[in-house]
Amino acid sequence: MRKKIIGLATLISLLVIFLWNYQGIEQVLQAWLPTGSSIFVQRTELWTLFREHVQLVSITVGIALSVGIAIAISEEFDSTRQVRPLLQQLGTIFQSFPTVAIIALIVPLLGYGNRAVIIGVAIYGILPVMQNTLTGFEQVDPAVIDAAKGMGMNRWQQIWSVKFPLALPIILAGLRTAVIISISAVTIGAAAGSGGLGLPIILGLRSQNLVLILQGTIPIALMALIADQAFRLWEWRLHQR
Amino acid sequence: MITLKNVTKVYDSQHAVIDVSFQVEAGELCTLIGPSGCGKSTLLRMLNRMIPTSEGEIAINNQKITDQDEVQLRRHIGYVIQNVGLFPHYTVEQNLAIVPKLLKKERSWIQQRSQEMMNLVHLPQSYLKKYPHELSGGQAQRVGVARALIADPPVLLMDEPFSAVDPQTRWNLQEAFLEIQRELKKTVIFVTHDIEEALALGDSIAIMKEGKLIQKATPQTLLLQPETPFVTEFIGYSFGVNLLAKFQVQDYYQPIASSPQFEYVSIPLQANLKQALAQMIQWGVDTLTVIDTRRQPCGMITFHQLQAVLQQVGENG
Ligand SMILES: Nc1ncnc2c1ncn2[C@@H]1O[C@H](COP(=O)(O)OP(=O)(O)OP(=O)(O)O)[C@@H](O)[C@H]1O
Ligand SMILES: [Mg+2]
Repeated sequence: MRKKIIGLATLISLLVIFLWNYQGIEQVLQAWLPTGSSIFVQRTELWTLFREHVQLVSITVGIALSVGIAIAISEEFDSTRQVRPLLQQLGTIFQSFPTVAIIALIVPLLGYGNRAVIIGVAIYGILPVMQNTLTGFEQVDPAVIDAAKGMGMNRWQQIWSVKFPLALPIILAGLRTAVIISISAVTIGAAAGSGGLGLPIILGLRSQNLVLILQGTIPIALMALIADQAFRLWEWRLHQR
Repeated sequence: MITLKNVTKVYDSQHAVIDVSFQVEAGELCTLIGPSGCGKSTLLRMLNRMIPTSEGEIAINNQKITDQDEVQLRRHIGYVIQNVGLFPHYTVEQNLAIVPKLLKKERSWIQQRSQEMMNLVHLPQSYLKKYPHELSGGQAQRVGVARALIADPPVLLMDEPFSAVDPQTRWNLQEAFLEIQRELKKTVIFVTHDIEEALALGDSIAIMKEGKLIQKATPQTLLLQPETPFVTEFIGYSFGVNLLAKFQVQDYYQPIASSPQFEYVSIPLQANLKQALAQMIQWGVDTLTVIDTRRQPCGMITFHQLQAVLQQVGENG
């Protein structure tokens, strides 16, 4: 427990230090690493890029979370029980699709920019949330559901008071996957015209500027690690009860 | 009072319950028994509309269950199942509060009732704060019974509630439940697959086979007037002896003021007739001296009296 919190705190401080002192860090890095032919100059502040990235991730995860759970809940009202295997299959197929492919498919439809990226990445994040919510609901002890129904709880009460809280650890694991996918997918989204920390990476790749590349990759890696650790900590706390 | 009229349940093509009619009076505890897969659970779950009936009519206290909203109906019927189904994320107290909250009872009412229920099922008040995983199987089942009784429903449906615990715990649960039932006089249908449990608890026993009701009667009637050979076969040869356990020596012995000659073998006043019979067999006598709590002889009981008890109850059964 204490170890996990210390680990998480260390990662967060590293990220903060990197963002606040980037100027200094950049000078050190430039002295040691190839900066290529600096035709492309990164003009946006790192802090702004980070904020954009976090915003995009929050929006896409928000959409993924609400849509994913909404689909899983509406499945609860399907008495034929035939949609579930279909959804599970769809999920599996979709996840073998690379993120780039989805964004590439959506850009021609919606044009360059934030909108295409948000929608493409959100679709991608919906799947783990939906699948885990479905699995979580399924894993609730049937005797508990039977008792809930037998005591006179209606459908919604069964979902909110019983299924949802009992499935929460599994749903959180799905949310964690969605967040991590989103952090990396939004990076790729920079190629489709959204902002975020993917921008310096793309510019760095084009100009073979390793410093620019690191300017994007380091905070992205730290964000992914932080998200992963934070969620694991939360899931672990839930299991303790 | 529970009334079933020509109740039938068909799954796809399989008939799970076929044309079942019977009545359970107010305050009666009816045990429902039969071979595995004969339709007991299906029948029970039709009573609170967990399963819709295919044909026939069910009424509780003369009200057709299909005339009521199914969710409302269930809130007024106690329901206890084999695996208890306590909510693992709720404390015992929160579990007890589920139905009262659905019925919009006040907090103070719920609190007071919870404490009463804990006393009723003989659990310490401190257990209100425990989570289900901190309880033993028997304790969990006691909470299950308390949870079903808290809102004081007139009718209680129980599906093999005590079958997942060891024999000793099970026996304790049966004793405790009988005591509760004597006090509260609920109308109960209690599914079991154990004939001894069916006999020990039931004012009446309903025997099912392959979806059909074979006979519903008092234990005495099943013993003396079985409708089919299946009934006799199903209740088994020790049914009569086990039935004697439901009668007390103190209700049947002959008090003797001036004792002519007391037998050496004795039986306490508070013993039951099955225990009296065991004494007779063990010592090879047909008369026992009945002794009171001070171990003083106060009467006698004979083998013929035991026989007469079974015969006699058969007639008014
Ligand atoms: N949902 C269902 N769909 C189809 N058939 C079912 C369904 N539920 C039960 N059955 C069938 O109905 C019959 C009666 O089942 P039920 O559960 O009522 O038996 P039971 O007497 O309670 O058995 P047990 O003592 O094993 O609990 C069985 O043959 C079972 O296979
Ligand atoms: Mg059953």
